[in-house]
Amino acid sequence: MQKAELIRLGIVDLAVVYGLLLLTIGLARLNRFGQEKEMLIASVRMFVQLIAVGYVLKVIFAIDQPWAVLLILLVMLAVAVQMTVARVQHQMPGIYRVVGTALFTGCGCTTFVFCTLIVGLSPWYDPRYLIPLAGMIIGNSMTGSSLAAERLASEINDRRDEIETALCLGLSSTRAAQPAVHSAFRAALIPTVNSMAAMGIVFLPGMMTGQILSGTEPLLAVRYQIAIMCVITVSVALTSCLIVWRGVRSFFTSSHQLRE
Amino acid sequence: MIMAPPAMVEIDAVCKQRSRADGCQVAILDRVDLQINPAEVIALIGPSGAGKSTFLRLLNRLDDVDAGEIRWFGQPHSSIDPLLLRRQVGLVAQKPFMFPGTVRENLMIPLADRKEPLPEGGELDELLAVCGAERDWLDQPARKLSVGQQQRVCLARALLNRPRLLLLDEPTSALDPETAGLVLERLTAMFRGSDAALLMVSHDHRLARRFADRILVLRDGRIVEENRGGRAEG
Repeated sequence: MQKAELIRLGIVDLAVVYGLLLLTIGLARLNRFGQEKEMLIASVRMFVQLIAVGYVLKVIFAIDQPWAVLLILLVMLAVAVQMTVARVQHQMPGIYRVVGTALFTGCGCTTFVFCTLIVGLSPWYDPRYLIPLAGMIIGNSMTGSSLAAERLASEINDRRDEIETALCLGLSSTRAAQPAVHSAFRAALIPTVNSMAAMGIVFLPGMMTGQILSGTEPLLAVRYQIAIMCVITVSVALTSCLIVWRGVRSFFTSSHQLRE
Repeated sequence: MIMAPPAMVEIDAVCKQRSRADGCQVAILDRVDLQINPAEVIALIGPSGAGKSTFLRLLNRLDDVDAGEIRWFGQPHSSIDPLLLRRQVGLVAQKPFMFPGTVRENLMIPLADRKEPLPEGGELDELLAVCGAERDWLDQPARKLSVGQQQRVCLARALLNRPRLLLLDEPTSALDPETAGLVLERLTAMFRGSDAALLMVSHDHRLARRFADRILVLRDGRIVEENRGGRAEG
């Protein structure tokens, strides 16, 4: 229900806040904090990416065709896979296959269930809903995936002696790598669980804030936020589970030998 | 015509290579031949980097051979379930590894999958005595033990699988000479009196001569010398 007129932000307003950011970067440089270059690059990237995505969304909303929506979701997933892989410092055999399958399956299933069966989009590809909802699910799953993959790879690497000792005793690779798997799964879920626990007290979540700002009734915004958080948690858990389950197998041969 | 039963282990022209940091392949083992029979105690000696640990890893199938063949009671290694094989061919690494928990929990690890209880009473006492371990250690945190004590717990843990062949990589490197002698005395006596065999890597030529039936010298990936040990000489 729209209750209030939306307050529009003009170019001058944006210039003022961007100026504040540049001032902060300038102060950081003055004090030699050493992060000013990264801050500047990140702020320019954010500016360019958001302007670009704004125009892309405008075009997609205008086209209003399923293929256009699916195409942008595919691009989002591909970028998420690439960014997840890039964040993993340790070597993981077949990492693109492992991360790709997990993100496509985990995000795909949860987005479909949420948008079709719960929200009941009509048409099913309604870009105004599907793209931002899928974006939140993919974004959070990407964070969980990179934590799961990185932790799994580093744990397997650090626990080589432990794993090989277990293998020597006749344990299967699954049993031998169990502590590494549990640790990776825990690491993947920490940000989502922390975020759920602090939500509403420490901060107001982005989607809910956005809906309230655009005039939606607060309790309806809350219902949407609870629903999306549940779906995000399911997606992060499912994606991370697939990554550790498929990922751990990639470290071993079919003869339960730990690859070098 | 009665066929002779196959040896416990037959190793035929086994080769193993490793990749160096620069990507080049370097031979670790080069056409190694060996036969191991039940109730034998064999010592494998040689300089560092000769391929001794790699050889043990191949027998336990932690690694696969690049060329040649290993047969276990006449059956090719590759055709045997590796988990089953590793219970029959135990390997105790040079660096002891204790899992989190007590010594008792560590000893339970090989048995837990098969849902077997830890033997109690005389059987456990006997096993601990062979390894030079003590019953008082059972409820202590395993990682708090000294390296020498951990080595003995590792030995006991491997023996709980009742291996037909036990591979030991420097099993007594952290023990004082007296304890090392005592442990090897009991261990070799146990294997000689059974249908199981023992293959141990050692840097200590004196211990190897004292306890082994056969001493193999591995150098540059090949068995270059085979001598009879003190036991075989009587």
